[in-house]
Amino acid sequence: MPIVINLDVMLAKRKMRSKELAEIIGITTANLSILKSGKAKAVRFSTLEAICKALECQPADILEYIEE
Amino acid sequence: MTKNRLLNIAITICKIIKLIYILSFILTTVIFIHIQIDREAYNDIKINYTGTPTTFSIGLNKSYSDKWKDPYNEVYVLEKLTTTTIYLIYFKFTCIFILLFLSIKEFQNIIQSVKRLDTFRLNNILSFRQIGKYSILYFILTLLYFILSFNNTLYFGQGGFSQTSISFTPLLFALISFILAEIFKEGNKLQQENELTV
Repeated sequence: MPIVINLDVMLAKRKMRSKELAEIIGITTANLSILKSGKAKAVRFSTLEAICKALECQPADILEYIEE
Repeated sequence: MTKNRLLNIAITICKIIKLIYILSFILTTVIFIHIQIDREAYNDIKINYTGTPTTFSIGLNKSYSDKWKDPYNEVYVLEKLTTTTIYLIYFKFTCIFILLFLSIKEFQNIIQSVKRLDTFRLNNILSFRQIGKYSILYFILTLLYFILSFNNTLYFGQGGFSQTSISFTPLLFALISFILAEIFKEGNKLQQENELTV
């Protein structure tokens, strides 16, 4: 998929653990793992909003388009 | 949905039907063996010819007698049934029992998965396809017997008659099953997408 999730990078920048982020945004660690691994088919705006709020970043910092 | 009465009734009916098929198959096998061992025991069983065509099918009714009697008034005694006919009938019944039993089994699996709230799983798609395949096999079997029976189906010592028909209902079942398999495939895709939406 040409959309890459850079959540790992942002988590490292903010020195935050996945479990911590999952608790803040209110999703399960399993779902966060799906998102991080790029297996997710879709991301809800509400989830994206919560991630941006928790990591104090923009959607573009998490999502990236790479041409195949 | 684990306490859904309708689904529980459907599962129970499936189990009863399966049991009936097993018992019928055992009974048929017993009669099949017994008729070969002791044919005279079937002296009293007489077959009266009634040519009633079935609905939604191509029917073929024919009757003939070697002695140029009126074939419709001829009384056929089961004792005089030829060995080939017995084998053909037994083979047909065995195939029908097996196909219907397997179809019911697949249908029961689908209902049980619906009860477990696991409706759009991959196994259900395969189950519907299997039911479709079994229905086609059933149709082929009836078609085969229709072709075979142009010579005779029930051949007795004094003559014989055949009353066969091609029923298109299994084909309709097959079509419905394949359509349902496609619907469930779409449902499975949507479920996967829903599960992978974060």
